Amino acid sequence: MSAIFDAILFFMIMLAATGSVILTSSAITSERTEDISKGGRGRFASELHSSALACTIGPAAYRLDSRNLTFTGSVLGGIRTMLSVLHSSSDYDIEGLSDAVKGTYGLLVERPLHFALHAVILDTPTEYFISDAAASPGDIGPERWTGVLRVHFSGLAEELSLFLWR
Amino acid sequence: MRGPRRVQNGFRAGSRLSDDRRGGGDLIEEMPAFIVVVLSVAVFFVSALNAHASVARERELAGLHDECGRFLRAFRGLDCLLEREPCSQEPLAGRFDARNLDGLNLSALERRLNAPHPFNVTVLDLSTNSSWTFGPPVTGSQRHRLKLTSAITIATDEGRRHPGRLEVVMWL
Repeated sequence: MSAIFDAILFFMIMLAATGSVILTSSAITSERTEDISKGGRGRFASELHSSALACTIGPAAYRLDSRNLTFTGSVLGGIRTMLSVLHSSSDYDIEGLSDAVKGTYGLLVERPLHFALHAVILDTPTEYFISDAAASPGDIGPERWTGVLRVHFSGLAEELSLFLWR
Repeated sequence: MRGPRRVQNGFRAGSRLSDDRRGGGDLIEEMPAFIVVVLSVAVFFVSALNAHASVARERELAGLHDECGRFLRAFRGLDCLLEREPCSQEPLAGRFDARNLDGLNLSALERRLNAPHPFNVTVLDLSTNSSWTFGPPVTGSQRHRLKLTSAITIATDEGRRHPGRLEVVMWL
């Protein structure tokens, strides 16, 4: 009978060794997958951001101080127009222009990803935020990929941040 | 001297093994223990082989991912397909010209990019849903297939830039 006890003890030791082999291999593979996925995130977000900003939108309607205007040009130009409208007046309607910008980002961002764009004129309270999911910048989850672009235009420094998350 | 002769290791010379009552058992009695040992060794080796195969496959996929990423970057920067900056005439990476895509063929692409594995490239205009595809079609039978995408723009004849997507599928 002692032989069978020895064999069972041996079986337990082998079982523990098997478990450790499986754990080690799964840790190696998951670490590598994580590395691959993290390595491409920043580049993906910045490529998406720069491509979106270069796209053409319009003619898109907007209103400033009771004047009906249209905009045709790049997404970057559209965002700057909206920021200058928000900065200069309280009588405006930029919904048409905003929808055009949102539509461009919406085409480029593949599901299951969500996006949010936060544009701000630095050192001023003027900011513009659009998203396909989050209601405000605070609602974006902590696990996000970010592409940030700083531009200077007419003496104003603007920061355009794109957030992507699952 | 009568009776069985004692030897140094404790067994009685001349007696049968099954008659011994001090530890030497019959082979049949030890069979379950033997089976348990064989089973545990087999389980360990099968799992070790599986783990090795899975790590090797992962390493192969990581290599394919690197190659596919390099190919994607190279295609994004392929100057014969790109729009040029109006003043400096520098090619703009990731900004494709639809007329240049119309004129591209697979052999020219293979010659320029020298891909290490079979590939399929699709440039998709997301505004019009038109597309340009180069390379053999992607089928379900291709082992270890990997797809990478990147955002691009496509300049049209009307002077507009449409949002686009570059998709590269590479397999072993």
